[in-house]
Amino acid sequence: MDRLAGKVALITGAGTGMGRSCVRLFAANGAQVVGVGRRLDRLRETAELVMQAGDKAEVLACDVASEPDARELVEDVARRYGRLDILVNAAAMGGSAYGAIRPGGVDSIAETPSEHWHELLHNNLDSVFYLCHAAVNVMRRQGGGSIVNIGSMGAVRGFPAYHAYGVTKAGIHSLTRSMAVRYGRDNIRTNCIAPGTTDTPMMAGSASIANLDPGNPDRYNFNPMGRAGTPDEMAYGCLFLASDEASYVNGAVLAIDGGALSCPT
Amino acid sequence: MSDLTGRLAGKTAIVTGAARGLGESIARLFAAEGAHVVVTDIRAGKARTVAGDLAGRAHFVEHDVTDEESWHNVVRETADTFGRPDVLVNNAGIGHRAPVVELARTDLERVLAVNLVGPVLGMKVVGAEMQAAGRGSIVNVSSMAAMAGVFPVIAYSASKWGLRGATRAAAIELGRNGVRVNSLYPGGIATPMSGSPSRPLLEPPEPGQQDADPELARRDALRTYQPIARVGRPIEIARAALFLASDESSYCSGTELVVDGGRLAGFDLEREPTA
Repeated sequence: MDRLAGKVALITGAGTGMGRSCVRLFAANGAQVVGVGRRLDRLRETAELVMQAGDKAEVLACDVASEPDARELVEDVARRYGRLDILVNAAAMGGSAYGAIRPGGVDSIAETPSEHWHELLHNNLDSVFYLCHAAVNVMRRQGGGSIVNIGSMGAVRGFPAYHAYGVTKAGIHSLTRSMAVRYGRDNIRTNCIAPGTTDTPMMAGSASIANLDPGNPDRYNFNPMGRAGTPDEMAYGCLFLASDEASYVNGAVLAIDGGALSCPT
Repeated sequence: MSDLTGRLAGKTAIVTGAARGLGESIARLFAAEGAHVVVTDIRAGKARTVAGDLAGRAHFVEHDVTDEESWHNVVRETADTFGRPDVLVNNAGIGHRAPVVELARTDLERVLAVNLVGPVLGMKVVGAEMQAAGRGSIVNVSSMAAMAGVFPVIAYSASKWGLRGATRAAAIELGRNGVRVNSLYPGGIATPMSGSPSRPLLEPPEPGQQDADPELARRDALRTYQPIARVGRPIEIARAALFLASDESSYCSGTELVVDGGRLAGFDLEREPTA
């Protein structure tokens, strides 16, 4: 299991959900991983899980929605490790976790207070701009790299709620394609996954998860596989895209959604 | 990259059209990753050689994908040799070039038969086996020509767009019973279909380096207009097929994976197009 041997990988959102799974899987595959997030206690749990598996990863507290901090982070990693081969942009706010702290923030636009709209765009999209801006410069200098973004099924289809969130993810899909077109010539590949409903802390207790619970008699099953995805299943998609195995994959949107996007609704 | 990880250990895979090109590359990579591979093709001689090279890990079956009984024979031989199939790669296909106003009906029907009817019969016959077992993974090899209009390959485009739709419908139907169905969209790959010799496991050149093979170097030089400015190697498609075939993609179904160097992602207007 050394599919990322010799690679330096920066993974955001590393304290929870898909980011944490990516840290664990990438470290298990031989990458030198730097996992960042806002909450040091969660990051330490991630580092502990990596250690228990006999691997190692560095974790750092960093708010990637702060432009100077995000820029300094990328330069710091490149300076200390000598390079930056892989960037996984997994940090994001949304779902039931965001709704719990920001009333209306995950509803339709009629209910969304403008400060929550701006907060989601800032945290989910501005952060990706800051990190890509800095990472592309490092990767160009060293002769290449691989960027993996986390998009969403909600960027492809309309949903009755999560309106602001969907816009942030559609922005990520668009940026992924544009960066792929521009930086392919610099040997920088840019791709994203489009997760369907995934059982992460962000979605805990949500209607989407309840709808996929086989024990729920009232569920409306829009998903051919009839269950939610796991963070590990998302991380395997990221591993494939990040690695040299995907050397001719550029600008791809890889749906990992149990077949939901194949259905009419 | 050369370290193999046994990602298909314990699995039995049927790969159609495995005598050369993408199918040969997929069959060889799957065997190297621990699968037992049923190598099928209508070209018996070359396919037998591929199976022979993979001694003990592969079994050749002569196969006409347009014939339903031929599919049943493949399933029987698979069961007799290795057991129940876990993976089906519907790779067999033929190319065809003609503008629509010059297209012969017989050519249209032949291309649709091999490229569309064939894989659908495969999903029917092998899919039924997988459904009964409650698990399986089907990978349909479509084409970039099913994501855009490509001139002048009208019959080919129609067949590959058809396979794209059939994949989604089958994903919904078979997903309920634990069978995943996904599709691959190769664009600009150096294969015998596109006029290149078969180079099943050849790695792409390092970025900025020229391929040692003059034929491939010449083909790469014609691709300066696309983001990754070279043709793809069959091994790069095989690795994508490996991801979709393996349990690593356990939540992918109906997924459309484009492997085209970024060509479909958009228009690179800053680059000079080549002829």
